[in-house]
Amino acid sequence: MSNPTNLPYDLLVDLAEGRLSAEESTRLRQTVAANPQAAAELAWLEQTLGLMRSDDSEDAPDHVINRALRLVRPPTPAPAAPGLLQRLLASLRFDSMNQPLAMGVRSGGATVRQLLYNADDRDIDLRIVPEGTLWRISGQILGPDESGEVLLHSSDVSVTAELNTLSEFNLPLVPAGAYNLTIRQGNCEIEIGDIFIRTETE
Amino acid sequence: MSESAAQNDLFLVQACQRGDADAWESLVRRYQRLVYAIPRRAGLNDDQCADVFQRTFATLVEKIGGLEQPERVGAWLVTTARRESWRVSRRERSTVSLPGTNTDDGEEQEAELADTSALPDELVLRLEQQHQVRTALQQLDERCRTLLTMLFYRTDAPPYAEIAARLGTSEGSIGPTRARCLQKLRTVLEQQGW
Repeated sequence: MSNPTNLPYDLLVDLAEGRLSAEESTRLRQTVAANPQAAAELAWLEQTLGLMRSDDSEDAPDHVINRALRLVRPPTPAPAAPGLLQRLLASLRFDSMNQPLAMGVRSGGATVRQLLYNADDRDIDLRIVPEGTLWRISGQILGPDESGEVLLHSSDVSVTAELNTLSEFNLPLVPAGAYNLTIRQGNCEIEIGDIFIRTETE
Repeated sequence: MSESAAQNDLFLVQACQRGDADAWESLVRRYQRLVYAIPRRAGLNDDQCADVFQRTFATLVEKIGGLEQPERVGAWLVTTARRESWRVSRRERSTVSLPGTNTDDGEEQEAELADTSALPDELVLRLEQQHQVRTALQQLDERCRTLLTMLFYRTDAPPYAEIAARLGTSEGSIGPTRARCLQKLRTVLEQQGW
C-alpha cells in the first residue's frame, strides 16, 4: 500500500463491509482520507452496501400481484352476438379462510375474508366482513368495463347492488347463511354458488 | 431517474397505453416491491397494504393515457402509493376505536397508530434508491446476483465456506469475486445515471 492511488479494491470492500480489525480499519481509513479517488470509491461502497443491508422490503404476495395484473388483460376473442345472454359458472381460485396465516391475508387481527373467483375473462374479488351480527359483502369485477348489478340470494334473503364505474359493488348487510351470487354485466350472467358466510369457528 | 431506466419505463407505459398486457405485467413486476413497501413502511397491515397496492395500480390504469411524464412512472407510483396509504390510514383512524383510548392516556395511544402523513421524504428516497440497486442487481449474471444477495441482503450473511459451496467455487475466490461483482453493479448503476 505504498502507493495510495493503487489501493486494492478488494481491500476497500473489506473496509466498507467491516471485515477488517479496528487497527487495520483505522490505518486504512487514514490512507483513504489522503486519496480522494479511493475516498470516493469507499463512500460509494459504504452507501451501496448500506442500501442493500438495510433493504428489508418484501415482494407483494402473489395473489396481490395477480389481482393487479388482471387490471389489464390481453385482447379477448370477439364477444357473443348482441342479445344473446352468456351464462357462466364462476370457479373459486382463492379463499383466505383456507389459507395459513403465513399467507398474510388475515393478520393484524383483520377479519376480512377474501375470495377470488374466475369466470371466462372476468375475475371476481369478494370481500366478506362482519359488522356486528351481520355481514357486509363487497367486491369488484375485474374484466370488461360494463355496467351491471349484483344479486345475493338465499332461501329467505335477497339483496342487490349496482356496479359503480370501477365495477365495484357493496351489498346491504345480510345475516350468516348459505348464499348464491349472481352478477349481471353486459350480456353476461355469472353465477357463484355455495358462498357460506359464517365465522371461522362455526 | 436514470436515462435508460426512464426510456425503459417510457416504452412500457406506451405499450400499456396500447393495451399490451405483457408490458403491464413487466411494469407491475418491476415496481411491485417498491409500491408494496410504501404502505408497509407506513405501518399498515397486510389487508391494507393489499388495498393500497391494488388502488395504486388501478389508478395507474385509469390515468395511464394522460400521464404527463410517462418516463417517471416510478415516481408517480410512489406518490400515489403514499397518498393511498395516507387515505387508508386516515380511514382507519376515523373508524377504529382502540381499546383504552377513552382513558387519560388515550391521546398517546392514538399517536401510536400508523401515521403515513409523516412518512418522511428521506425514507421514501431511500426506498427508491434501494429499488434502483435491486433493479441493477437483477441485471447482473446469476453468479453475481447469488453472491451479492447472500452477502448483503440476508440478515444472517453465511460464512464464505457456505457461499463457496453454493457457488461451486473455492472459499478463497469469494472475496475477489465479491469485489468484481460490486464493480459490475457500479457499472450498471452508473449506466442508469446513479
